[in-house]
Amino acid sequence: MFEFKLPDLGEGIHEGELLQWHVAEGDHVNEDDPLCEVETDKAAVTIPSPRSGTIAALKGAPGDIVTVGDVFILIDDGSEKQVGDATEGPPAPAEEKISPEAASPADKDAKAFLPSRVIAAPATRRLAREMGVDIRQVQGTGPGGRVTPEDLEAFDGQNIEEQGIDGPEHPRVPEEDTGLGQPLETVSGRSLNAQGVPFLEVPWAPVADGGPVEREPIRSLRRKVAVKTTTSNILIPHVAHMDDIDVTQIEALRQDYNARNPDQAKLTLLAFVVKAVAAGLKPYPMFNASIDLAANEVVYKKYYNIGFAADTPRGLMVPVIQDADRQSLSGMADRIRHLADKARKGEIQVSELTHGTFTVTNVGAVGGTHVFPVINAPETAILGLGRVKKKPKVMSQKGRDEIRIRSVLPVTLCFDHRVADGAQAAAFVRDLKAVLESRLNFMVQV
Amino acid sequence: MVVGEMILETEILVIGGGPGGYTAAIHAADLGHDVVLVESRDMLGGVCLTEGCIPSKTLIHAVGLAQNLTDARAMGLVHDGIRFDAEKLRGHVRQVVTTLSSGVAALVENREIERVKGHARFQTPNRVYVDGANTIVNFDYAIIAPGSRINTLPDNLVKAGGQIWTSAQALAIPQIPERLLVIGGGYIGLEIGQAYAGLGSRVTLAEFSDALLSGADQDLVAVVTKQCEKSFDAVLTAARVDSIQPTKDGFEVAIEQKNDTGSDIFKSRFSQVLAATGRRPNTDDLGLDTIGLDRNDQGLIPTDEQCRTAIPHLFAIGDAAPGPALAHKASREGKVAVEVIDGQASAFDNVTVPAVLFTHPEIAWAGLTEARAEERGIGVKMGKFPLTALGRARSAGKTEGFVKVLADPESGVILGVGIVGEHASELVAEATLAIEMGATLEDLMVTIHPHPTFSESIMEAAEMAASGSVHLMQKKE
Repeated sequence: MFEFKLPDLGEGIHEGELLQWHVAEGDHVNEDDPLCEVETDKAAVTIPSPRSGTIAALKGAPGDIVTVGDVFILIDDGSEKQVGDATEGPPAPAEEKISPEAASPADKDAKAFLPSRVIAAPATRRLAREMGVDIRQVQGTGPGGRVTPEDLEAFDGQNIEEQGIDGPEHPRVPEEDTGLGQPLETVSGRSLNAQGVPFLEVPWAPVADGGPVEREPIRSLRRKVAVKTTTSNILIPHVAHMDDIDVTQIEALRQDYNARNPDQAKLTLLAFVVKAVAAGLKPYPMFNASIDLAANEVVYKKYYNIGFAADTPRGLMVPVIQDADRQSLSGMADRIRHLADKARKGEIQVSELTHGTFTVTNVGAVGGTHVFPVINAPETAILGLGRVKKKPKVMSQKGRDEIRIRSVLPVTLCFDHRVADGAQAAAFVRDLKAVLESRLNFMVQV
Repeated sequence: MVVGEMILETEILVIGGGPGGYTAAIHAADLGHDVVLVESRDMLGGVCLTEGCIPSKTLIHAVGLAQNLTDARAMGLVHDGIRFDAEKLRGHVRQVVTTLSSGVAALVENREIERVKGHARFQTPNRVYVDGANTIVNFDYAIIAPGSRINTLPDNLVKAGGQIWTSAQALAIPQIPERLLVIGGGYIGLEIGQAYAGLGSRVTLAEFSDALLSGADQDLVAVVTKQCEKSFDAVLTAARVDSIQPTKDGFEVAIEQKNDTGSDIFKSRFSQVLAATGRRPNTDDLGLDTIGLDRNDQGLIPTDEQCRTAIPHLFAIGDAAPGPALAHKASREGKVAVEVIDGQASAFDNVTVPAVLFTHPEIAWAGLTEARAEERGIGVKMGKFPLTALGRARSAGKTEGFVKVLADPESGVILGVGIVGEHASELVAEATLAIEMGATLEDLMVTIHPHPTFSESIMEAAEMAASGSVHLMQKKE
């Protein structure tokens, strides 16, 4: 019996989604016959059979996530008795089940010597310890599988992704905090057992087709968004605070600047907003924070990395502007354009998608009034921008009320009620509004 | 409390002033910690500096010069024979040791590290009593670096006393014996045996097991054995010393040697006997039982990757901790222990501790040995390059020996390097770096090695492992 583990898919990728089987249990396969398709973040790959034999078991169904190193196919190549055969005594540890004749000499080397040996420079090994990364888990991309500092960073990035920023696929939340009675089980993204919550029915009844339909698997980025938003919605008590911001002055300033500097990159309203938010967060640390559930603590961040939602052909992404409080307005506009461009082209790096502390989502570019955004966990707040529209506004001029036509930006601050209350949200938005409504305030305070 | 007792309070106590202990003490002081260093000897530097590596290498170097001068006759050097002035040689060795040890003492003094001379024993996990200084030291952390000592021969072997040499005594060169018996075919026995042969003694070597230098690959050892067979009276393996009887002018020794049919017993007279039969850790008189710190059956204190013992604020390094009893391993561990106390993410995660034998010619290796690869069934790709094919070795007249490189057959990652020959002790540093860095054969092959040097032999051996060396004949089919 040969236990086939998902082989290395390259470039630090440690898991993939099983797209389809090319074989069924009981099928005979020859060496190099295609066994299945696995999709990674980068591409779909066909996994060929390493042995000739009969497929004894296929572990997993299309849609499942398979991790590199997991046994996912059993091939009976006649090399050894069936695993778990009663006459054979207790089954050997998984490492040793590969029969000696079947395994190539290289396999044996790897088992006998290399597991105890991480191929990495001493300084890289130290860096791993400093980063808290178990270097044995990291797939090296250097010559001979050497782990480089970049591999560590990529690995660390993936971990952060998994733990929050880009999709907490394995929530580590203690049971009592989920309030769902049973631990969430989202390994395949399909089964969710939530017994014990009154009126909650999970999973819901199968979708009945009442007419012609088209079905599409939930995959890749769509799946990440699904996992992330579901988790965020279930675990975070969202509160929305809405307001309208009069951006007439800022818009005039912006258009004036753009008209005067036709050669320069255009200033966008988003750049003004991100700039104002980065400056405005300082007196309101609860909105630039995370909750550390394990420690039961709020983590207030002393850095201001503002993410902005970008619609890309692959789906929703949130590029992050590092240290947004230290960027100039034109630098900010450049940075936003540059990152959005990279995201659209699929060239964005993991490091440019991580370590955000607050998110701004600008749905208004398309249309609508107020939005109700989902908090980008583990952050504690998100600001949703609607579409700037000209609206009649009552203004007081020398004690006389009059109606003026003003450019108005609808905004919604969604925040985590565990770390802040409505009054703080109202104050934060009030201050943000004051800054964005007055050219003078913006220049003085931001 | 005893009258007149001193009490010191410190953050870090270091027990032992050898290469592990003094390195730890200095590194800790440099990181801003308060340190007390306890050492029972007058001099700092431990066995390595005072009666081991340093005096032996000084002696071996002098003997090597004599050997080179003798060899140089073939190159046209004319001299009327050379000999040693034992008194001067003794003085030179002593002076080298004194200079280095006072250098270490100056470094320690420069950091204002409190030195206490005496023998430390634990009274509690946070206190030692230093015998000889009548001092109590209270500490937050302790680094246990007591080193090791020479195994003495069993009493029943040595009848009626008699001054048998330890390696320390031999290195003080009290005299140049006419006939010297070296008991033990490990590196200490071979190094000192060859040195005394070079000084003019007639040397017999007796080793209990079937092979000399049992930890090293036997193809490396064979080159040295060949030299010993030339310069020694006899090299006896599978030989047991049955009795040592002091006589008027030396010792009568009975040696039993196994052969195919049974064993031969023969008696022989020697003017001096050197016991070079291994070392054991100085962990038996530290009061470890008092504080419940266990030792394993070899007397070593088990430690984790951070050099931490079972009692978390106590660290053990060097010969008192598991692993090879080598100075360079001890000093690295000393640094790790201090950095861990300092809160840094340090670990003794070294892939290999290089082994160096200052035999003639030298043997050195790092990483996987061929013997171990065979024993554990690890498939390797191996390349060997003989020094006879190396220009520099020819020009120096030092063509005995070779370099071999062992690599993973699939990835080409260097797993081990074995060297026998001139400058092996220096060459192995490159091999060690290659192994720590996870270098591949390709890395060694494409790195330009200066010509003409002995270091080219590593590059050539890597080429042999990968494809074949330019400087060797191709095997014709």
